[in-house]
Amino acid sequence: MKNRKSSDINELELSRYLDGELSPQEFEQLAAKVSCSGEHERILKHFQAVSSLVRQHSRVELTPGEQQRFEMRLARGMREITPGRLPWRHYLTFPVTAWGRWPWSWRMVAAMALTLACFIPFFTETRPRNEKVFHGPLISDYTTKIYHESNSKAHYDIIWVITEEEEENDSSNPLGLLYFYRV
Amino acid sequence: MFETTDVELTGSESAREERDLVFRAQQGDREAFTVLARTYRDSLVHLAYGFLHDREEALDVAQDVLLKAYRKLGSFKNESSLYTWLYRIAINLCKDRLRRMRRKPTVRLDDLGIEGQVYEIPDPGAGPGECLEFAERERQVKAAIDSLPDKHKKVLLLRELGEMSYKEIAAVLKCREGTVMSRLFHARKMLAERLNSLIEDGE
Repeated sequence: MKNRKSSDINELELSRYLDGELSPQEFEQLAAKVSCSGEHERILKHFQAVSSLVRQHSRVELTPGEQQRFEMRLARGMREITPGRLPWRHYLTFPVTAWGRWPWSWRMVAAMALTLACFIPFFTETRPRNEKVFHGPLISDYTTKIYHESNSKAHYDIIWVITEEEEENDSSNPLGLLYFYRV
Repeated sequence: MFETTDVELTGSESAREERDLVFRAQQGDREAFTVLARTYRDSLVHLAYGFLHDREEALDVAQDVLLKAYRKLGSFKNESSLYTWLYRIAINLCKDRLRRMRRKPTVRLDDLGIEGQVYEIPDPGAGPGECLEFAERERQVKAAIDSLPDKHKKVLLLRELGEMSYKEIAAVLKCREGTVMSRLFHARKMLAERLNSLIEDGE
């Protein structure tokens, strides 16, 4: 019984040898053993023969016609069914999971785009949306009284522009304060 | 109809490409799945034929495997490789199909000898005697494979027809590598005993 067991272990190694599942060192050792032992060589040949018989008689080579028919039927089947989309949970983690699948070049481009997008607010004029832009008339358009006041500390001049009409109505200055920075 | 896309997915270099194709297919890209289907079509047909020994059934099963995979693609996680997943589906479908075939045995015209079975002849110029000999050998090999216990048969076919490593087989069958190694060895040993006459003739 013991002998049979040890013989089985050798045969088991032969099976691994045949499948290329041994480490290079084990492979060399076993190859040397096989070349010295007629019994091992015979067993190995039997295993190889079994392998080749199974491969030879259990394979089907599809003819071009069969291949075409197969693909047509598959395409028809695919049209009829709804493909398995990713579960909703995937879309929550999508940015992270997708990132892992992207090639490095895509990641670089995406990172640059993201960085730019973050800095865009700093480069553009930021103004509350509901604030009306004053498109006031030019001072030269009016016969106006211009009150000029200079503020040396704040480095700007304040100019009140009051049109004649406004002055007659005695309303507040519709043109608001216009700041003209000193150059 | 498929458009021809010559994409060969072999070796570890294409692993990323395959992941991308799977991802695209998961997003609904049918063409990406077509490429994957074409890559694994032949292996699946071989495997199914190894189990069922019927060309048409094997083609049907391979197609069912791919359609099922397409339908369930959303549940596929890239943690395991696609072919491991496909082979697992294939084995389950083959088992179902075998069960159904055993429950409702059908007599094929081929078996009655009304219509000659189409055998693949290695040499097209082979004579009738050689053809008969080949057919007889094939019958014996199939019978020997069928006589194996189910778990041994699966391991053997995954190794010989799927050309998978022990690790991959272990992943498909959800067992340990040691178990795969042992089952494969015993399967070979049993086959070697049953096909002894054929092997001796070959020598």
